[in-house]
Amino acid sequence: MAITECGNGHVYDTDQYAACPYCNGGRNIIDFSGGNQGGDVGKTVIPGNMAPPAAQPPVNPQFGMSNTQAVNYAVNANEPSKTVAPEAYRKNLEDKNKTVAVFKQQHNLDPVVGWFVCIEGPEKGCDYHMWAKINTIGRSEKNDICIKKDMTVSKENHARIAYDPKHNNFQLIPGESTNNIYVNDEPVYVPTRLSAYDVVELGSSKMVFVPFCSDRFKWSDVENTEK
Amino acid sequence: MGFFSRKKKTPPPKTTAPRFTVPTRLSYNIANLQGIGRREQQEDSFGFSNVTDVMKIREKGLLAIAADGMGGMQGGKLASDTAVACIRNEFEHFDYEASLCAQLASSVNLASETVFNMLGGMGGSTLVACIFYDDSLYWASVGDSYLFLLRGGKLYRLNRMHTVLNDEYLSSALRGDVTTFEGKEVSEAAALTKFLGMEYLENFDFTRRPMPVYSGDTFLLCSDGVGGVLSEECIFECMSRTDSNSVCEELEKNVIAENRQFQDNYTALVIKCEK
Repeated sequence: MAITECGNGHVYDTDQYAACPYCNGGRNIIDFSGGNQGGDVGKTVIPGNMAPPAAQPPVNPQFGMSNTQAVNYAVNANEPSKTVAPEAYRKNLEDKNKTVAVFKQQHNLDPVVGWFVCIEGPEKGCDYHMWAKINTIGRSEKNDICIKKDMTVSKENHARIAYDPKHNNFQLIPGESTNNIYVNDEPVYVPTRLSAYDVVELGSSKMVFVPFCSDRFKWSDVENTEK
Repeated sequence: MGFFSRKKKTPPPKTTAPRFTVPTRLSYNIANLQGIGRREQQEDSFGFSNVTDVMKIREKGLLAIAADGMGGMQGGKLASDTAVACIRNEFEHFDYEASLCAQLASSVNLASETVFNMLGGMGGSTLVACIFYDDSLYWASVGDSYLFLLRGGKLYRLNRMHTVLNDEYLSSALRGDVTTFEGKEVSEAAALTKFLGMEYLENFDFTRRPMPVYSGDTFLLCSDGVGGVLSEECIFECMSRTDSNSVCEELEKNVIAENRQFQDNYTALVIKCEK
């Protein structure tokens, strides 16, 4: 046993794991297969009056409320110990999930939502794509944004860039790196909203952030006009 | 003689111990556990600070946080991640001359504001945070996560859940008619009334004065994927293990054995205090 604390305060055994098993999307070794995977029941949620206004894009009928889901709710109602949402909020949540499903189904790929352009460092002049999800940044090719030549960038999870399709904005989330990350020369320790042409410094590389999805464009707008 | 006689004071026994002794402090045996359950994504976050550095624990204390994100999509994970990162960051800059209780509370408020600014109230996170400093515990709790203490063969739950059911019960207790509450239907009973990331977070629970910690105490911070799934008897059994790692293993075994159809993300942090 060799217990180590990673940069995010997770504790793990370095004899068992090369990198922190909790930072990269969570440990996923337990097989819970066999049951319905798609239930939103029991999620920790807020009461109905706190629910956001329902301004949902049209929903593809094929993702409509299926029988299994109806049954799931019935099962859940018998389980008073579970954290459940009021009916209205559950529906709302469900709609949100559907929107993503429709989005991915119709495009059958993750569309680009923005770029990084390297303006200083070993990969000066290169660009990196960002997808509609939480993008990881690091040196290894496993990452969505891979800065291969910069040895001062952590192998995995140096930082992450989250694109939020709901609010159409980008957040820079510091990762496990022991080096500071800067946005416009300001150190970043908590998730920080990025705006167009912000300069992000990772290791010895400087990146300019160029959003594609912004006030002027949203993938969901294309979706709506197609219909 | 009589009243005026005084016994000759015996001089205090000469101490043979060296002059500069560091008082023996508690040491902490810690472990963590996290699993995704049957959910598509992990929305729980957790974090320790200063775990591997004994001197730092003595100087600055040990921090442990568990947060259960809510709201679906990526918002949940973002909220719980932010909450943990924000409080860990604040903890680095605590002023040990001032009250730690107040500083912990204000860092929870700051974390809530940060999450609110990010998600606009559409997502949020529960939180239970503990600081072990100078053989005392400082904690704060928002939402429906769990904080257990095993002491002297008894299991205590230190925090309460901020749910609609609890709040209604409390308000009827304050009115003095708890009896009529029995059997009353409460709609949205389990929905949260307080969470990090709501616009005005107030009246959450935190320690106003530190709570002494003794050798042999075991603390468990967990999300409702553990605390809401396992019975208290079962948690008691698990926490009675001597080693924090085996507590985690046992908890995970039991959660899997429950085999819930909608097993939520589960996260547990175990801190065993030893002399």
